[in-house]
Amino acid sequence: MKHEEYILLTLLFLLGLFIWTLPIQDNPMPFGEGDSAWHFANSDAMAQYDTTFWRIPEYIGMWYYDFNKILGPNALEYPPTWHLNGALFQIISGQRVVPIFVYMAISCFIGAFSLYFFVRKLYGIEAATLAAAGVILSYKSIMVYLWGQRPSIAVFIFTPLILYSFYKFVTSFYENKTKVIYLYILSLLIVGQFLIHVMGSIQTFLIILLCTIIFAIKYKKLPLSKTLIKHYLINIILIIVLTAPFYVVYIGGSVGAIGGEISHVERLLYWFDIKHLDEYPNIGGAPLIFYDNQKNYFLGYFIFVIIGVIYLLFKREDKDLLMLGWLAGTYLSIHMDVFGLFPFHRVSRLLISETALFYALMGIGVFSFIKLIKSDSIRMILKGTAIAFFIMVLFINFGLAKDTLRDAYDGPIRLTENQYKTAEWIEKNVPHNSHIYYIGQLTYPKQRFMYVLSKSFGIYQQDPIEEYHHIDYVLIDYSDFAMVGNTNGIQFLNVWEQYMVREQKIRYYLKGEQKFYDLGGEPNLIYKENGVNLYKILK
Amino acid sequence: MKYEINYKTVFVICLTLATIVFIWLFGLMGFLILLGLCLFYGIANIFIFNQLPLEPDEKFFFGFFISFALFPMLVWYVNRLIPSLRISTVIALILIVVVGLIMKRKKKKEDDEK
Repeated sequence: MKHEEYILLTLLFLLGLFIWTLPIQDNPMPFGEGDSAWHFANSDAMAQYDTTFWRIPEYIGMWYYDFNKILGPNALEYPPTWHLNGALFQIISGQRVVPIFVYMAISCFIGAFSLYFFVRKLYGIEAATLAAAGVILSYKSIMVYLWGQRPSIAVFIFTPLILYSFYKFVTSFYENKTKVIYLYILSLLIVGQFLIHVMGSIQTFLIILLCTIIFAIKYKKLPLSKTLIKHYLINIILIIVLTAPFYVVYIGGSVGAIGGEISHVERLLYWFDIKHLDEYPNIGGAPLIFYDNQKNYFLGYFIFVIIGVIYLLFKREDKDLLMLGWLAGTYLSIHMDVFGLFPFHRVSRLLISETALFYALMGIGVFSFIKLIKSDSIRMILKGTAIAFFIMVLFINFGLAKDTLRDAYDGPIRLTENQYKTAEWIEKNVPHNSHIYYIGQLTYPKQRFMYVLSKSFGIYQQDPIEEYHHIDYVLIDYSDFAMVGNTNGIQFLNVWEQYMVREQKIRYYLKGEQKFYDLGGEPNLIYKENGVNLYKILK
Repeated sequence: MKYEINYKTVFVICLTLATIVFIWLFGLMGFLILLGLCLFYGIANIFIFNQLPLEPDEKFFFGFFISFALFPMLVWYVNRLIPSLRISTVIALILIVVVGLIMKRKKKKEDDEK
């Protein structure tokens, strides 16, 4: 790479930083769905308590109580890597919310740069720039980022580098100039990916397996030799030592993370078909817009992808075979539900990795095809046209990405400053891990952020209260209804509060049925500010 | 005359650009986040990956991305022994520098022997 390219990369990075942090630039309150709060909680807790965990604090562990069937309650649900990074940024900057969210944003778009490096090294600067810009502006990734499943995006930042180091190692072997350094780099990258999210490792395993088979067929021998066996063994031990402590974190995990039945075999005929799923259009996990490729790419994008695939099949050089292995491995990984290996909602998350692959294929196809043209003038015209076309596409995608991120979680669906202050007050004045019953906030994610920031476990209106054993506090929040001018809502809360104080009981609804929960003590008002009333239950 | 820009100039330009944008977006906190990025994911680049027989751009990219996953793991392991995350982070950074210096010395010795 030329030195000047680092300036281009810096500009691309800063573009990514600007766009992806738009939701947090003007409003420093946390955003996202429930998962966002959960991931934030893990980073936040490490920095706040100045320690890392093997057992997470109870107020986080209660969310998915007893998730790990081997380790039991309050066990780690992921290896600590991704969350610990967030904690480090909170520590170095001294601020609680924004640094973690900036880190989360960076971790979600930084994959554009590993992709740039990979494509640049093998296919040139034009294809690399297109691929990187495409990933930075990926609508699919932006949606998942906004919702909060951010490690699912971050895990794929390693794939291009894994492919590159694998390619360098294998090709050096077949050229009889084996460079084992790339084998060690490959192992460290595999470890790194595993420590972020295991789903990425499963996809990588398939890709590497297929690429190894493809190269072995081409060269009619496996990348094996007497001297290499020693290095393979060292690398296997290295991987096991670095990852083994966390096997139990994944293996013990439950809640439908793995398994299923062989179903929807017709999906194998398509790249990613959802229309034939039984539950369509309510396929769970993600709304239909997540699968809308025209929004993620552009109208007719698949023609360019196909050009890329045809080019690779036509050339079949080592690097082209590597790309084809990546394509085939990705295809297999996003059909694992068909074979009953993983449920659909897990497999559909892997679709995020498709963006990097498709933009790389588009870039390789178009710009490499143009290079094949012998006439200088025609080649220049075609290249200019392709660059102009892709600039236009990226410009449109930029507008969509910017608008989506700028307007994300605006207004009352985001935690307000007053609610943040309330959470801080609770954090300072109420014993951590207390059980607080919440009522009044407009959305569930807002409440979840309240739980995290106050370091307490929150019980939601629609939770089965009996399962949580006890209620220590009751929080009634009028501020959201007041903000949106819902007088009926305010009246309802007022009646609810009076009943709770008078009867020492909570009235709640579970599956449409009205129920009552005896608080077992007198509610005593301990906080009344900004439309929020907090009662301590005196037992 | 062909003008060639050296890597130090490029480094200064990139860092200046990044500093300006981070501060513009997030003020002093932005600067500290950038500092964190350089420290947590850059220090292994300078001290360890620079000693490896790789191309310069490979050192940069591998160093950054491997540090992204393995630096926090190093901190996590240190924190098993040292009960403060802040102190563990500092120790992890020092460990990387020490390992890098040992590698550098070893490499110099090998080069001298050749």
